[in-house]
This record gives sequence, C-alpha cells and structure tokens, in this order.
Amino acid sequence: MKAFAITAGVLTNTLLLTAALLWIDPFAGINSVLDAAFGAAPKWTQVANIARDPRIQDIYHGEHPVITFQYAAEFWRSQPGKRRVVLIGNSQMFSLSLAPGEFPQTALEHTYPDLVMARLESEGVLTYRLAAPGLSYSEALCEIDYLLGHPDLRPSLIVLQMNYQTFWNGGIRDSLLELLDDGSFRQQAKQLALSGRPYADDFASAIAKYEERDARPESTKPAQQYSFGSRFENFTRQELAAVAVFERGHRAKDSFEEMLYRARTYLLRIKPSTARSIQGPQLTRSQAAVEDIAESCRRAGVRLAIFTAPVNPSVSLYRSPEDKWRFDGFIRAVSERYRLPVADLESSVADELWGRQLNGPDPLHMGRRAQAAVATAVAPFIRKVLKEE
Amino acid sequence: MFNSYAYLILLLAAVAVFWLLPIVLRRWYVLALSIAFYASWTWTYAALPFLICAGIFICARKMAARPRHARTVMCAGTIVVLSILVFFKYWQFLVDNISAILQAFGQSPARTIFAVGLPLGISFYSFEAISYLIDARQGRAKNLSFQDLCLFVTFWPHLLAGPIVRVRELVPQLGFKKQFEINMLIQGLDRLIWGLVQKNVIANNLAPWVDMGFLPRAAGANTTVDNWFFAFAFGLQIYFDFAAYSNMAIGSACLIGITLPENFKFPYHAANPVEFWSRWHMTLSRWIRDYLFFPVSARFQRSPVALSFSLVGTMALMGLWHGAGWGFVLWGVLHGVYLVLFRIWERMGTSFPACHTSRICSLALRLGTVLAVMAAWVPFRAATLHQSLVMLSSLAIPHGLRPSYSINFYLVTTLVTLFAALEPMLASWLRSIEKRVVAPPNLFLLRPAMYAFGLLLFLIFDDRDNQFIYFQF
Repeated sequence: MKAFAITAGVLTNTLLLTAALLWIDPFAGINSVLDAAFGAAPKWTQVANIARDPRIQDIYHGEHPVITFQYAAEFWRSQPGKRRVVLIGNSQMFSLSLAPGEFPQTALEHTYPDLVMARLESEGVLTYRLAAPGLSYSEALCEIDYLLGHPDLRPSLIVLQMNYQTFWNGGIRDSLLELLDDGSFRQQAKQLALSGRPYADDFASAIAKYEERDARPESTKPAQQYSFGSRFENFTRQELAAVAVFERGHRAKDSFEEMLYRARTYLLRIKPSTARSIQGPQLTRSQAAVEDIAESCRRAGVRLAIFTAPVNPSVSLYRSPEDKWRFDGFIRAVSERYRLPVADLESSVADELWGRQLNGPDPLHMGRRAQAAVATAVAPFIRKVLKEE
Repeated sequence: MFNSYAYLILLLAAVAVFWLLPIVLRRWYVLALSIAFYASWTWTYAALPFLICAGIFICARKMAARPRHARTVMCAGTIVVLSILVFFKYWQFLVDNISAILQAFGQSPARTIFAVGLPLGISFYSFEAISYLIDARQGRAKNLSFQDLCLFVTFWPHLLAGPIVRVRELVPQLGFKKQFEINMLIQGLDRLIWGLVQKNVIANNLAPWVDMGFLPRAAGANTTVDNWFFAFAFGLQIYFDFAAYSNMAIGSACLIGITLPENFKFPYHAANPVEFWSRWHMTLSRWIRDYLFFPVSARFQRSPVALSFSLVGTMALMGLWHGAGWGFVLWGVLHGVYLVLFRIWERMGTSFPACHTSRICSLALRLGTVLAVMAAWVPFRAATLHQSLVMLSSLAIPHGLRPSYSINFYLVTTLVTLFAALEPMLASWLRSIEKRVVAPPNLFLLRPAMYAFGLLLFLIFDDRDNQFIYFQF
C-alpha cells in the first residue's frame, strides 16, 4: 500500500511541476537574465503594435497562404480597374525596430509597404505586402507561380526584395504546402520538382511531404491506416489543446529557441550581422529561383521589378569584396537578361535610423523614420515602373 | 508511437490496471494489451505476428515429437518465416532489381501486379520467431505454450522495434509474479522520460537539417565540410532516435516489472569497430553473431580469407535486414570491412606491441572508429547508391572546405556531438547526485522536478509527424 501511495505522490508532483513549468515559462526568465547581463536593447524597441490589414498584407507571414490569398482576391475584386502591386520580401517588410531617439507610440505603426500604399492609392494603385520571416527564393517562386496561375490574384507588378542574407535560405516551409491542394498548381510544382534546376529538390521535398500527409500504404513504408490509435491521438490532442496550460507550450518553445539564439549571439558572438560568404548549393539554388521568378513573370506577361534591401551601414554582411561583387554581379546579370527595373536601396538608410537587435546593431529591421525614408524611395520607383508599362 | 500523447496516457492507465489485477489474469491482460497496441496502428496486419507464432509453435511441437527430423523442421520453419519477411519487405526490391537486369539485356522490365504495405515491426518479430525455432532445436528453450509464445513475440514494448529478446530472457518473467516496488516506477519513468527527451528534443531537431543535406541534388554541391557534418548529424540523429525508442521500450516494460535487455551503451565511445558492435543495437548484433556469423564462420576457421569474406557477408546481410536497398547493403559491407581491417590491425599488434599499445595509437583508433562509423551512415541515409558514392568520395577527397548551410546547422550538430561525447559522464554524475539525496526529497522533489523538466521539453518540441526511424525497418 505504501508503494502505491508513493507512486501517487511522485506522479502528482510530476504533473503539478510540469504544469507549473509550462505556466511560468522558465526559459523566458533565463532570456531576461541574459539580456540584462549582456546589455541588450530594451524590449519596447521591438514594436508589436503594427497595423494589420488582411486586405493589403499577409498578416500570417506565410503561415496560412490560402486564406491570405483569399483575402487579397476578395479585396482586389472589390476594387476593379486598379493596378495591383505585390511586394515580396522577408521580415524587413513587416517588422519595426525603434532607432535611438524613437519611442513607442500609442497609434499603430506602419511599415514601408503600407506607407507606399498610402502614397499610391490615390493614383489607382493597390499594394500588397507578401512577406514572411526568412523567406527563401524557392518560397518566393512558389508563391509567385501560385499568384500568376490564378486570374483573381494576378498582379500588374511584382516587386521582389533582393537581400544578400536571403540567398543563404533554402527550402519551402511546411505551411506553404496547403497551396498544393490546388490541383493545377500541384502539377506545376511537380514539373518544377522534375525540372533539374538547382532548387528542384525544394519542390520535390515539398511534394513528398504533401503526399505523405495523404499517405497510402507503400511497400517501402510501414502500413498505417486511420486506425483507432490515430483517432484517439487526435482526440487527446484536441482535448489537451483546450487546456490553457498546454496552450502556453508554444510560448515556452519560442522562449527556448530564443534562449539558444541569445546563447549564440552573446556567448559565441555569432549574430545575424556576422559577415558571411555565400557560395555552393545555397547560392546556386537561390540564384536559379530568382531567374525562374523572372522567367515566370515574363511568360505570364506580368512586370517584375527588383530592389536591393536596405542594409544597416554599420554592419557589413559580406565577408569579402568578392561576396559583394558576386551579389551585385548576379543582380546586374538577371536584370539585364530579363530587362528588369532595379532600385538600389542598399545604402539608402542612414545608420542612426536603424534599430538594435539584442546587444548589437540590427542588420535588417529599421526604425520609424527609416520606414518613411524607404517608402519615399520605393513609391516613385513603383510609379515609374507602372508608367513604363 | 511511444512518444504520442495517447500512448503515454493509456500506458499509465494500463499499468495501474495491471497492478490491480490478480496475478492469474495478468498474462491474458498483457497479451490483450499487446494485440490492442499493434492493432492501434493498423488492423490489416494485426493477425500476422500470431500467424507466425502459430507456425513456429507447430514446428516446435514437431521438433519435440520427432527429434530425428528436428533439423528439417527447423529449416522449414525458418524458411517460412523468412519467406513472409521477404514477401512483405523485399518483394518490390526484388522486382526492381530483376527489372534492371532485364532492361540491361534489352528485355521489357518485370512488373508487379500488387503492392503490399510493410507490416510494422516485421523484421523484429521475424527474428525473434527464428531465434525461438533455433533455440528450441538446440535445447536452449523448452517448448512453450501457445500463449507464452504469443506473449514472447508480441509483448508490446519490444514488438515494433526491439530490443530483440531471447526466449530465456523474457519467458521466465512472463509469469508476472513480482510484487509492485517503487523502483519499478522510478526506473521505468527514468527511461521513458529520457527517451522522450532524446527523441523530441535531440533527434527531431536534427531531422530537418539531415533531410536538407541528403537531398539528392545537394549531394554533388555539398562541400567536404558539409558532408562530414551531415554524416555526423545523421549518425547522431539515428542514435538518439533509436536509443530513445529502446529506452521507452525498456521503461514501459519496467513499469510492469519486466526487464528487457539493453540495446545501446554509448556506441560512439567505442574504442574500435568490434567494440562498436557491442555497444550499438546490441540485441541485433548478438542475434547476428549467434545465429548467423558463428554457424557460418565455424566452417571457415582455418581460412582467414574465407573468414573475412564471411564476416563481410554477414554484415551485408545485416545491412539488408534494415531495408530493401543497396545503400543498406553498402553500409553493412563497410562495417564488415572495418571489422576485417581491425582483425588485421590486431594481428599486426603482435609484431609491433609497443606501437599497438601506445596511447596515441589507441586514441587514433578510437577517433578513426568514430569517423569510419559516421562515414558509413552516408549510404544508410542517402536516397540512391549514386548519391552515397558522391558523398562518400567527397568525405575522402576534399571538395571545398567552406560551410554552405546556415550556421545553426553546424552549431546544432556540434552541440549534439559534444552532448554525445559527455553523455556517459552526465549519466554517472546524475547517478551520483541521486545517491546523495536521501529518499523522501529524492522521490517527492528531485525526481518529479527532473521528470517535469523532461516532460516540458517533450511537450514544447512535440512533433507527431516525426516517426521513429527504425519503424521503417
């Protein structure tokens, strides 16, 4: 009897302590201690109250593309005769990191794609911000091909952000797989997977994952049906998801990943702003994806323009002059081959207008005044490109 | 499956009921649980392990009744079990290879008119069935009742992916006569929760990087540094994935008072290739050694060359056991070659004892073993033989030394490598803390705190799509 009582005690304490850990999120506390110890910028510099409007922005940042595109299509249908401009890029387009001298405000903040919209709306131009964190060019190709394949979503102009750091990224995130529910797009993606292009594996892997979700027994994999084990697991997960303490698990995971990121930044001094040389498969994959974005747009008769993303002047992302030369050379080559208008905004924002990331300069995310400055540069560029049509 | 919420919740309930039941009912209860566990994955093949049990049960009876024909009956039984395994696991592989040969001779390729799914755990329970037949024939196992035999083969903790148990290890425990002790709970939870952490936190977080690096088109573009990191990343992923499964299997069994054999003993700390196989998937390597290598090598004792070939052949078959693909065979062959080279090295040791026993030599051998084992994982994981050869050649012949993937990949792989290197020390440190803390705080505070932290990590890294790698074998 004593053993059973001890068992009950051990199990009860384990469950209570697990719930307590999920609730208090110990990793968030460790992050605060690390930030204080290494002199990170105050948390309020990372602005949270940014304007959200699903009609003109991907407010889910690549997590729910189908519903995102439905919102855009509905809005565009309600605005006949207006020209549609889609700006595609990474988190620079939807984040705001306050620069020295800038302070939080109660009014909603706007990033530069929204400010561009404000400037051009009266001229019959609707802009749409299609941005996701760490967007790879394979993902950009996937989204653009989807847009071009749907008349409701076909824009007049696509403006693609070219960022040296983005050439480092590859793959297609799982959340974009829902685009493959569309049969004709799935066929197109399969063709890309078989194209032999350097990014083809990204599409092959995405299709494999998509098909695995709808798996049927194959000789090489264990047979599984939607058996009662699977149904009971679904039921258990649904029930647990409704429990508040389990909901907080996602927050704890973010904190844990941020803790690792902080450890990397503070202890190993490897930051997003650390200069790097991009070569090999990542580079060729990204370059091929950008070339094929241009080719897709050319075939669809949709104008494509590119601009180099603003970069914090106090940070050098290139490890060697060859890296810069290679990046510039590629942009020059692709713009010449496909006759793409180019805006060079890399040095367009002064260093005092940039925010701070943890305890160093933020290489990518800009302050409030910088957003306005970039909008001032991008709006006339779009206007000019649209006039040239 | 062991890392699903449903399993963990049902396990606690099932264990509670087990200890409340009278001893006489426990065997039936565990058998019913094992059937339910297997059928919870798929009904289609739920009868298969029992059909195999029925087959070997009849064979064992025949062997006992007619000892003169025992060898023939044993061979027939083994052939039937192996045929079932080949049918389900290697049919498509055979068809593909026959097609390739036919095409090479300008003939139209062979076609298969049916496709079969792979029954879960078939490689494992087939080997257990064969081991029973051989043990029964050699008098190492007495004739079991059909219930005992079914329990031995289908006992749920080891049914899907081992450990591969022997009759004499498990059957004496299947009376379930032990009284509940708190140690059963503690040891069971220790293993179960550590397994959850190994799987969800370590193995699953390496998986996306490994998937990216082993994409067929990436193989040619990866640099030598990339490929070494991918070899290490996969070697660590499969270790923590399979060790996690084994820990959870051992932990689950422990909760009802059953001790299963260990499957891993810090394999990457092996001093040489022979030691590696006494630390990696220990229950499979002893099965292969006892039921395949010893009988085969006994015929070649006088011929070192033939013995070496038999060693390589045995390892190649072990590779093939893992999956229907030439990459698995190449993995086995590489390990066979490592073992042969080590035998040669040992023989050389008699000529140069000073060098052989020096610290530098043993350190170099240890390092060489780790590097060779990691390199051998490349064909195991690569999609095609061509990809394996491209990546393996890049490991040996420098093909660019710059890293071409995100810095996070190299950092995560390095971090996990360090963890694997320090794992034995951490384990003994934890044991020493445990011994120092007196019973009540240990039971009611220290252990629940450790379990809670493990569960927290398991929950936040939960990913139900990431199955155990060894499920596909």
